[in-house]
Amino acid sequence: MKSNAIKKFFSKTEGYILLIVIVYCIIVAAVNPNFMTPGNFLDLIRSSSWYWILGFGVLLVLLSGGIDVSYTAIAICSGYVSACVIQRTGIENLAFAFFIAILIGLWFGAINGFLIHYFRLPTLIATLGTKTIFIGIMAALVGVEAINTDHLPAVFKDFGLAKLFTVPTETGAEYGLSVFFIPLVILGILTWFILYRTQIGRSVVALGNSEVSAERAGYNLFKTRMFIYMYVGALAAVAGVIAISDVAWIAPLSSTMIRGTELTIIAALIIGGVKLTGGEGTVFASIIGLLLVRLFETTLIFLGLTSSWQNFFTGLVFVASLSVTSLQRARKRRRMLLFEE
Amino acid sequence: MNKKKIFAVLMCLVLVAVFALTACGTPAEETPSETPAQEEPAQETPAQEEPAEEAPTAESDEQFEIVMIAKTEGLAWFDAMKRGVAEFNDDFADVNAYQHSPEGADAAKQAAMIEDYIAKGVDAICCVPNDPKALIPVVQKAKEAGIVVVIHEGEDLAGIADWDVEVFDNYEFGRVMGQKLGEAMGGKGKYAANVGGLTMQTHMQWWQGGTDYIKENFPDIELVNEQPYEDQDDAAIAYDICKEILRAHPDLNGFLGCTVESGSSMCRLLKETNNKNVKVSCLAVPSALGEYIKEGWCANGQGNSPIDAGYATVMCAYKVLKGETIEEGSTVDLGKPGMDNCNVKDGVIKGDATIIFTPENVDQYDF
Amino acid sequence: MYKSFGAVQALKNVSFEVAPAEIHCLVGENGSGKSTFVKTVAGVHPPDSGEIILNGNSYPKVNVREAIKEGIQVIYQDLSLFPSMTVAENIATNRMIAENRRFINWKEIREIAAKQLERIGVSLDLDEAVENLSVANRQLVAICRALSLDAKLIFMDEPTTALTKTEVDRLLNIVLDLKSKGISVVFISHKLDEVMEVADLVSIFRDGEKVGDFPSSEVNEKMLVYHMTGRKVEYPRYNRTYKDDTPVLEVKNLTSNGKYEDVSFTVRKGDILGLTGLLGAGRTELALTLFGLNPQDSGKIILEGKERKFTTPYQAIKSGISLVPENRQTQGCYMNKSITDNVAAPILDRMANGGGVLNVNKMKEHAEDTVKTLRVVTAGISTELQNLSGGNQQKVVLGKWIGTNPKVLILDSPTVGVDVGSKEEIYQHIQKFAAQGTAVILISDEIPEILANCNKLIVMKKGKVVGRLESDDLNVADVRDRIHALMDSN
Ligand SMILES: Nc1ncnc2c1ncn2[C@@H]1O[C@H](COP(=O)(O)OP(=O)(O)OP(=O)(O)O)[C@@H](O)[C@H]1O
Ligand SMILES: [Mg+2]
Repeated sequence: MKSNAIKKFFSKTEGYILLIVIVYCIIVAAVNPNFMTPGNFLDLIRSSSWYWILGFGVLLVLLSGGIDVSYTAIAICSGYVSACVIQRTGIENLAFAFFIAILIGLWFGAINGFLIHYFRLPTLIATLGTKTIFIGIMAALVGVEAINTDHLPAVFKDFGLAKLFTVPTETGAEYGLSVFFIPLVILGILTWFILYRTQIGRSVVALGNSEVSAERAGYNLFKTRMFIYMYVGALAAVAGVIAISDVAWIAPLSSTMIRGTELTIIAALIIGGVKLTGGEGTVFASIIGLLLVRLFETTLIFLGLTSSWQNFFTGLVFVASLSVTSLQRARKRRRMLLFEE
Repeated sequence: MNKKKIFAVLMCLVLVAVFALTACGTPAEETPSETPAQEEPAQETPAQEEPAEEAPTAESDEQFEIVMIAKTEGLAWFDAMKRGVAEFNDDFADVNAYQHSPEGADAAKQAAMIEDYIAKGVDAICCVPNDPKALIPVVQKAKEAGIVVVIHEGEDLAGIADWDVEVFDNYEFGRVMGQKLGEAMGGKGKYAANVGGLTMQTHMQWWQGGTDYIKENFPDIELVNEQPYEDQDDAAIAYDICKEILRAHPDLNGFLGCTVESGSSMCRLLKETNNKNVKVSCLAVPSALGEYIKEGWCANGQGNSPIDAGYATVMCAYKVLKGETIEEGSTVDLGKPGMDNCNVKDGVIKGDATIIFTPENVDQYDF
Repeated sequence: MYKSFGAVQALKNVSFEVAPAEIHCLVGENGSGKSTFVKTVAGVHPPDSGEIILNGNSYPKVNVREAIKEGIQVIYQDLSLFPSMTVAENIATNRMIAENRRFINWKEIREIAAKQLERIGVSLDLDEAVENLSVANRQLVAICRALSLDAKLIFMDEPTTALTKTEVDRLLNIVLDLKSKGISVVFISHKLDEVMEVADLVSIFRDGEKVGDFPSSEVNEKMLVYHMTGRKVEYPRYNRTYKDDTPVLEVKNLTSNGKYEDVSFTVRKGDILGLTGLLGAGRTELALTLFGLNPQDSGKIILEGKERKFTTPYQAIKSGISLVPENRQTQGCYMNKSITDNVAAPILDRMANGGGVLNVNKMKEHAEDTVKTLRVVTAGISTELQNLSGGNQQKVVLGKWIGTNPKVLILDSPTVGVDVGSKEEIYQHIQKFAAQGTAVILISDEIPEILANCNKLIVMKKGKVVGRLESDDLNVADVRDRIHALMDSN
């Protein structure tokens, strides 16, 4: 019974990727023993937390059969505006920072959802457009000047440094589990709950399966779409605040922080086993896919490689994972004598 | 349903309030410096008409339009440089000088912008190149179009552009950085080094100077990376790289940071993990590293004033436009401390404006 | 009610009434507007003009949710399922939505699904994704879904096309059962015997107009056919006249583990071999083997004296075997391509000029030909397949494979969802084809179809051949009962 469940797990894409993650970790550890330290993994969690949070939102969009490329812009705008507001009002309160950011995230998300539903725009096109609009709104109303560490409100800096617990290393430095872990876990569980335990969550999956069927089944697709994009907006806002707190710095226009990661995150989810065309994907798949990509991103120095290798690895795994998934699927369906698509 | 509506309206109001708040709250002194650059094309016309309305003087029937193209928009360093350019603009009535940079430090975008300004027909183009060699063709094109070109921090373009303005001798600057690091490390241990990019000539000269100095004078100090890490002048990348450096080399003792971003990221990480083993010697701006310099996480921060650099570069272009001859082998005054007696040699105008930031002096600078 | 799609007037001045506890059948030729009518009432398409009155509430147009709230459930012709969701969830979804649930209780979902499946007497794996089911099982899932809810009126748009007799009988019993509970059913089918079995009232559509309502006691099949088509329809009876008796295809002890075993038969030029049996008989699997899609485990396939083993359809097509598959929706055609592109697809090499450039005129000609000979109801040859009515899609698929001029043509349920009038024409084509020397294998559930076309019949059950009838056997009067007896035997 139990071994059967394990077998089933490893026959899914998530299982494969987990294996690759483990093997890759062993390789890196073999090349550079410094890799296998608790501090290292705690740090990976910390620096990846906002990737994961963005990933949860993207998961919903992909499940619904859409592609959103504007969520990174939402993350930057909401995080940056939140930082500006706090800087200028002096209300140094973390809850307030999140409140402002999430509010903006929700609104930007609502704009996406509205456009996509009412104008029947392909999601990719719509969000390509709104992506620049969001940045434009921010630039026009708030500005784009970088906020350096010295000028960043203390709430962000303190939030970035806060830890749940710390472990000292032999060199005297101490590593710890960042508080980012708390929103990460909460949002992970929330996303899971929404997807598997609520009607609105199922409507997202249904929409991704077949829009026609979802409509005919009686789902209110306006509600579904608004929910998806507002949820993504809110998650992006949280991720934005966390990312700014992490690096303690923000340059909304020039930085590659968050910005430019939109396709990486989508690719990571697909590597994990989320279906690009919608309808299939799990929270675990998004976590594991992003974990692998983050490992590639953060271990090059351990391996002594230059940064172009990261793209190479990600691309390789992306193609391999897609091929394996579709081959597997084809084989299974062939066994069942189904030859569609 | 009704409650929902009220809630929605409420949220709308809050949102408007947020934007209103941030928009009005924009610090007054930043606004003027920003305006010319951001809305630059629209602003030109009235500015150019101005002299015509005023009583004509011998000179002011010609107004010089000078554009400064920095590496990227939205970085504190170049925001400060923008202030220097604006200051120059205010000091000279017959000049319309402004700064406009690409979004993201990208050589191709810079080249495209230069093309645009050639087409627009400005009088002079100043540029802080991301990749000097990549700009050679457009700079030549600008010269052919009769436009004065002055480069800042790009010696590869010396001789092709009218002048290259350097605030100090890069190699020497690097040697100072290396020396300070070696001293802070007590002459032994391992250190890592970082630049913005391998194509960034200035950074590479600093790096060369720093590593050379250490190799020559501190035989017990070992460099862990033969090729410097690259952060593209981007804090997010720099932060990731520094994190990895610390993880991959837990026994590290020193860090030579040729970008502000890497220096400040490293200091922040050291502070975060309470790691006192690593000494940082880096390029610095007070707004990014002031806190760390005062708290001791940064052993040595050195740099120059971007305000003065911007000012001096535009000043050089202005002098050429005015027809003042700058002669090889002589000296020239570009109007700012450390730049008042610059050496002119092989197409390069070199000042000596290095600033070493110390816990005592760092608060005086507002960039 | 009126409804048009561009130039096509799909519904013209249709008035239709369903009383409580009434079984109202709807028949009509392909493209006569039956599905369009259902979709309009269910809120999928807004009508151009007209009024919809549900439980006394009048709507100029309804939306899907209003219709559901008024107690309307639909089994759509294309099923409208969620492919990657499980059987259980597909069945329970509509109920969860109708009850306006906020949260999902998986235990309850499984219970609902299990109950419905039990009701129609089939067992399916509740956790299997619907995309991994056969068409027949998908149809069952869609039926269960519509039944899971206590609706007032259930539209069933050709729910039985892929089902075999046992399931159909079961469904018809359920329909009668629903009636006794006061629930009305609008039942659409081209199988008129089914219709006559349960109907209280039969309405006939023709070219988007309603011809009339007839109490079922006052009509018979012949009358219905006459009103639908405006003519008398008589299926032609096939007699083999071909002289050459050398076998084209021989199958010897063919076995595919778990699917069918030990099947042997021979077809000659001009033969039409019938293959029939209930759900799970292994007929389709056998056909797929011949077409290179389901490798055999043992046994031989001999084509024109040479032993062959096909591993891809390409090899099969090259050797002269064509297959018209069972599920046209997804296997047989490109739904979002035009008729022209579809019929040209398998014979592109013949459509090309020298140098591999496609000759568009030739393609168009071929498409016009197909549309004309098979009487496809369409606005033109550039219409996308998804905008054709279900039966007309089937005709296009048929035309596509007939166009390949194969040596062996395998037809898997070729007239599913096709109206009686067109069936007659399709039979004529098949028989003409056979008469010219093609060997045809016809897989079908419909006994009349088999009796009209086949000169040989094999009855299969659970993967085994349980009966063989030669042309003499097929001509005796009680042959129907004999076939049924074979299928029910052990
Ligand atoms: N979405 C659509 N776009 C354009 N034309 C359509 C569309 N749906 C149906 N039609 C056309 O409307 C007519 C009626 O189609 P409908 O599907 O109602 O026929 P039907 O009676 O259900 O036929 P069948 O028995 O083949 O299912 C057909 O001519 C069809 O081509
Ligand atoms: Mg129909």
